[in-house]
Amino acid sequence: MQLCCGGNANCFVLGHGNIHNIVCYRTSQPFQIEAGGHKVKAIVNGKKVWSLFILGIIGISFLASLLLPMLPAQVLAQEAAAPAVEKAKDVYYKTEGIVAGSPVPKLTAKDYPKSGWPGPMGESRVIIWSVAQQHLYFGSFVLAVPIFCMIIELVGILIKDPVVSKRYDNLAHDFIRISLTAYSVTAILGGLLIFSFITLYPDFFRYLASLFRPFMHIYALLFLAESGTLYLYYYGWDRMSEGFLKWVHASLSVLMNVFGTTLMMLANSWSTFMMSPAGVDEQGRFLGNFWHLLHSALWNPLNVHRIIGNMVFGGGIVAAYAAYKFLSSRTQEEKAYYDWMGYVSMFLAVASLIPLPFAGYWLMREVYAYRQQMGITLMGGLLAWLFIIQAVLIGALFFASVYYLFNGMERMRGAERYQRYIKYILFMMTAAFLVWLTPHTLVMKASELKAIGGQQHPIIGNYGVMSAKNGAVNTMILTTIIAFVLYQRANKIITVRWATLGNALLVSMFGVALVNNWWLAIYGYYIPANVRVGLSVPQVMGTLTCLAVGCAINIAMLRGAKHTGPVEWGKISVRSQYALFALAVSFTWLMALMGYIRSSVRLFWHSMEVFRDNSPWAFTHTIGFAANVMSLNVLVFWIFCLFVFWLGELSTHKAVPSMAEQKAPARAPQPAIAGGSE
Amino acid sequence: MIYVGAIVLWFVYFQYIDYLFMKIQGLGYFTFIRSVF
Repeated sequence: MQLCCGGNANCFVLGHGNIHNIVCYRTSQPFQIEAGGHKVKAIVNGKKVWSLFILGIIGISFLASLLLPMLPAQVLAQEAAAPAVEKAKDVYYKTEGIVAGSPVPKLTAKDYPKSGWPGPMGESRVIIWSVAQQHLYFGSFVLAVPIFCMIIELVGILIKDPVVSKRYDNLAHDFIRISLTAYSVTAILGGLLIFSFITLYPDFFRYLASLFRPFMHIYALLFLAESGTLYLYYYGWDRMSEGFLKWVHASLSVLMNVFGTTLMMLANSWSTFMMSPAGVDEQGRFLGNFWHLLHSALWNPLNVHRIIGNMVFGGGIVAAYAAYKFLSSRTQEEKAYYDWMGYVSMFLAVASLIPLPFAGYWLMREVYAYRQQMGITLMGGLLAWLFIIQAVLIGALFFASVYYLFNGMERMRGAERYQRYIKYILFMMTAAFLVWLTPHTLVMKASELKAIGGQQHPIIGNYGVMSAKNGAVNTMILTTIIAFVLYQRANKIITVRWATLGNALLVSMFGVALVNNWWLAIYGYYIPANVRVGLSVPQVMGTLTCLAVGCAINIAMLRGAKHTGPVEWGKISVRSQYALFALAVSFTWLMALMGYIRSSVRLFWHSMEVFRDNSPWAFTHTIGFAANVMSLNVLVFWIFCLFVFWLGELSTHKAVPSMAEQKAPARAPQPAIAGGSE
Repeated sequence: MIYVGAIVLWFVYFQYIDYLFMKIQGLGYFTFIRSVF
């Protein structure tokens, strides 16, 4: 084989048959070589197979290692039970098991050490709250970014245009570089959290560690494995940039995500044990079944909710980074690249945001199923007002996303055709948003109560119920999807012969879906609350249909479309970048808010109905105090984040990739894959 | 005409979805309609 840049050239195999068009990676000059086409293809396919095979072996070995703690579980139980067998009933699974652990300690206020710090920080709970929140922020970020890297790197490999492929590769590399510093911060905050637990809540931590001991060991090992994979992935980027090694590199990202997600699921089991304990009897004694301990009622709903939530959050943070870089860019090339980076991040964040409410509904449904009282405390009692704040923040997310999309249309000539739709979209979103945030009952003075005529307003009080809110949130999601469909069409003129049919299908689908959604929302008023819950499922199905079918029809219609001009990356308003910041800060605030709600629903229990919290701080704070702590946490996190961004900038010396659209040479067909040369 | 056809198509589809999921959850689509009117 012939090489154009010596042995280290990164070249792309472009052709089929015996003649291969090679594009030199450095000079972008095409040249041809002769080779046995089938042979090259076979080698390339063989490399893919080997890469997947190795990945499979590693994956299976890893999963097998996860089963190990299940093995000694029975042995431990039998050993412990040898002298005198005592059996007890699982508090959740209601199965009988051999008692293999100690009961929860009976604590008094004196058993809880005090930090002795002045002000609110003298309360141990606030310290744990803040440290755990910071750890969770960074943990979420470093778990989400590898998911994006995996997707973006794969997109880069599969894209046929070598210039665009390289651009995606660079983007994934940039993402992982940002998360590298965040990874260290996560580990430091994790250490700080453990020390805080040991020093401030020693008895509770000892109890939790006695139950989850094997999982904590696995957690530590997984952390090591993830760190190793992350460093290999990051530092091996340039060395593993072509051919078989590139596939191994992409496989490493899959492996890293397997480690990361498992790590998160283990940590989730500790949180869910506190909310909905299982695997222990009513005295808190372990019954020898580790699977029950892990698989509590809320474990899987929380896992799904957190994975999706992390992706939204990670996308938001990277979008904020891109906005920060865009605003501080001095050249047009940099502005163009960071504008594109912001768009991709925002797209990933919003794509993850759309299923998030449904995961949230599932979690809430399971909370209600586990203990109805917990659900009522959350959504209809003590913590209900915090859900109104949540509604405002979620509304802000949808508004910011749609605002950004319409600002993004400024990059495209021909987009002005769709400007007239903005007012309708804005109207629908505002109407839905107002319904979405209307509270059911208001805290009022006696005179206000008298003026209104009761606890609920005679008209807007009707919008405070769940039936109206289901309709409102689905309307907001549908409107966001419509905005995205318009964005996709902004600089294109559809040329397919079935354009009229396609438009009719799209317009009528969204129209009928919206009407059906409102109809189900109205229907909900006529039926009992326990039956009404079931109506949310067809509403969700309608929205998901529009998302999947609507985008599919739109993409099919855009095939062979005439471009009214290229996307002029970098030519976007500065306001749009602040929308990205607003998006990211809203995510951060939401996480703080919902994390507090989830945790404080336990009220005066360390572990619900098993381990009572007898500390002096076993009370629920006022909404104002809680909101201040949350906001302080958000502020601290963003100061940390700016530090991480700044550090990331220190190590950036390479030029950003060009965003100018480059067409492949006329004679050169599109590349099959990114390949090496010999 | 093509729009009317598309609206009918999607109407039938979404109503079928409603019917199906109500049936799965034991809610009864037609009972609901009768209860409203």
